Amino acid sequence: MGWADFPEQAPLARLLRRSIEQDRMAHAYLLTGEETSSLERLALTWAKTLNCTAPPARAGNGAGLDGCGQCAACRRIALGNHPDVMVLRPERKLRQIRIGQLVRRHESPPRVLHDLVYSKPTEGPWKIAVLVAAERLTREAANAFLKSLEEPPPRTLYLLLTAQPEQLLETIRSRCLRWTCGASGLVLHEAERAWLGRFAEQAVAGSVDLPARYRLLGSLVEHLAQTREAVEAEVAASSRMEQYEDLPPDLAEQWENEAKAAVEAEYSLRRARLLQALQAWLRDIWAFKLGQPADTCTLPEFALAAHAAAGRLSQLEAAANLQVVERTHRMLFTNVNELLTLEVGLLQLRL
Amino acid sequence: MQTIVGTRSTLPVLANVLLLAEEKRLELRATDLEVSLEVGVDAQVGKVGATTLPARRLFGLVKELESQEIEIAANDKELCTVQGGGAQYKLHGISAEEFPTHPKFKEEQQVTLPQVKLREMIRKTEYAISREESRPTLNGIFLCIQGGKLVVVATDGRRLAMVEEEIEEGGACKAEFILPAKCVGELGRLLGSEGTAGFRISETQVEITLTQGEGHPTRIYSKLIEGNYPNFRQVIPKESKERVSLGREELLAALRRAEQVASDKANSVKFSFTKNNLAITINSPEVGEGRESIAINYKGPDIDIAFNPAYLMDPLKALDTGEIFLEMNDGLSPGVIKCNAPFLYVIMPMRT
Repeated sequence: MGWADFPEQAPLARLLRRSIEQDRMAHAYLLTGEETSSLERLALTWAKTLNCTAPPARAGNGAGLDGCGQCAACRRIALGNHPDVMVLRPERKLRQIRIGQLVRRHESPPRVLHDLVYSKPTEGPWKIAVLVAAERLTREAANAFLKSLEEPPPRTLYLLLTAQPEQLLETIRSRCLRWTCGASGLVLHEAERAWLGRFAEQAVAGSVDLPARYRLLGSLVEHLAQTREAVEAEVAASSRMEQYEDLPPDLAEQWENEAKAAVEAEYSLRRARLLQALQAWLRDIWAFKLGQPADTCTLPEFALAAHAAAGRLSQLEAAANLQVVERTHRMLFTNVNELLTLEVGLLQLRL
Repeated sequence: MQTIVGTRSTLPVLANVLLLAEEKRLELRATDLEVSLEVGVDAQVGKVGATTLPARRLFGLVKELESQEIEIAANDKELCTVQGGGAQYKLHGISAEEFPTHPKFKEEQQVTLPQVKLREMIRKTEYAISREESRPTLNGIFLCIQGGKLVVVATDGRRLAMVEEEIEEGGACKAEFILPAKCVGELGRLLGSEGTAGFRISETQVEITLTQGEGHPTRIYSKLIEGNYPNFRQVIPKESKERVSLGREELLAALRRAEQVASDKANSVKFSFTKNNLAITINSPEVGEGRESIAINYKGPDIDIAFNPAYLMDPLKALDTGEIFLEMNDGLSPGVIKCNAPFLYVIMPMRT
């Protein structure tokens, strides 16, 4: 897989090529995007580009500009057994990148990040460490990581991947060159768009009594249940478990726990996106109340419903709605009952 | 091989051992991508090929088989039959294609020395390797080959152990590298009292071939630690005013007793040198205290100097001479331990 397989990432490919040609690669990049799995494919392509032994194109200084995907180095990077490339992922049920994965501790796996970074590269010119879901670094691990992020040995490249950059330590973010892959701002998937449409319609058409509120809650809970099922199916489909017949039991258990944790993480990400969509719509209502023109709407397709709702609300009520969603959003990140939080949130909304 | 395979690898194939059937021999290979180990055994090979099998299961199984010879056959679905003494077991393997390939060497230097010599050098230095991650260059032993000599050094910033030996073969070789602690550990386990150890050194990695008689050699491949080793010669005191001869075992026994009274907070033993006498005292407020005297031959000024008992005991345990020499200047400068062998140990004193 080379850069040609990522037509939408042409600007990133250009940046990388320029850095290689001028030999001015930064030591750490923070790649943000909607989902870490596509970022991971991107990071591996990056690693192949730097360590490919038969690159299809070369810069003036002889360095490869793309990975061939065929040579031994590229194949081993794809398989995960290249000695100079390491991919770290969140582990265990809590889905964290723990300090034991970075430096040698009692519970460390045979190979830790420290081993890669502080030994010489053996095959390729570069040592590449990919941190998938970097926001899952524990505080202890993040602090240990900072030290080598500040001053890595030469020819070391860190690729940090995250869908939630705001959850990374500021000190880590500031030490990386940041690149946003994919659209920035609010991106609504088809299912979310459909749900928001139904929600807006019900909210505007229905009366403001209690049963109507619970109907809204019902539609939200139903949508969330469908989301969870979809996420579970996706995680199961991408599982590595099926590939091996005789997996050591502890590794099998670890992968199972990781899969469960991955479902939780992806689900909460999509739930957050849903609430963001709802918040965007409520912001549109508030904007109407403030007298903003209709063409400044974040969600123009639901502008009509927003306009109708705005007619029923006072400016203060519209602003309070935004705070309710904000609070609900925050509460869901803590250890609270999801259903209860959503119920309280929806009952507090004024529509 | 099992120590290299480790307990929990994130890549299933790394928990396996590669079986490579060649003409008349079977080669086994294990790796964790940092250190690789390769051993060969005589075998009757029906068909040349390769597969990988879970290292722990294979070892456990072969150990328990009652026959001298075992037969291993793999089918194209990586299902292996292991037979011996009427027992027949089948193990699921992983394709050999997934197994990391052999490290490639570009330019290289070579040097060979007797295994027993290397084993002794490692034994006398490896305990001083730093286990702290804050200074990665110290997480291994430093080997310097120059002018027909091999110098092996390990330090953690508080003490330093060094051994220097002549090498017979490969005297023209000139190389410096830091061998990671994991490889040092493996090497320490594998080195025997006979045969030779040959180094092939490239810019980024090293291959160590252990040969014993006519048998198949064992090979270890290891990455090297990045960075420059600190200038260790700087910390070795040029000259010392006082030199005391001490019985190694006598001192070790005294320190072992003293260590029983040491605690985390008060972890130092005080050496008081007076005319022909050494008084060893230890005092930890919450545990207790101790004092013992050793008759020595000493004519210099009175010196009080304190050391961490564990740091003093390490070299004493590793050495095998009867007599050691402690050299010092005063109570605050580093002490040096020497013996009638090419060994030197620098230890920083503690404040009393």
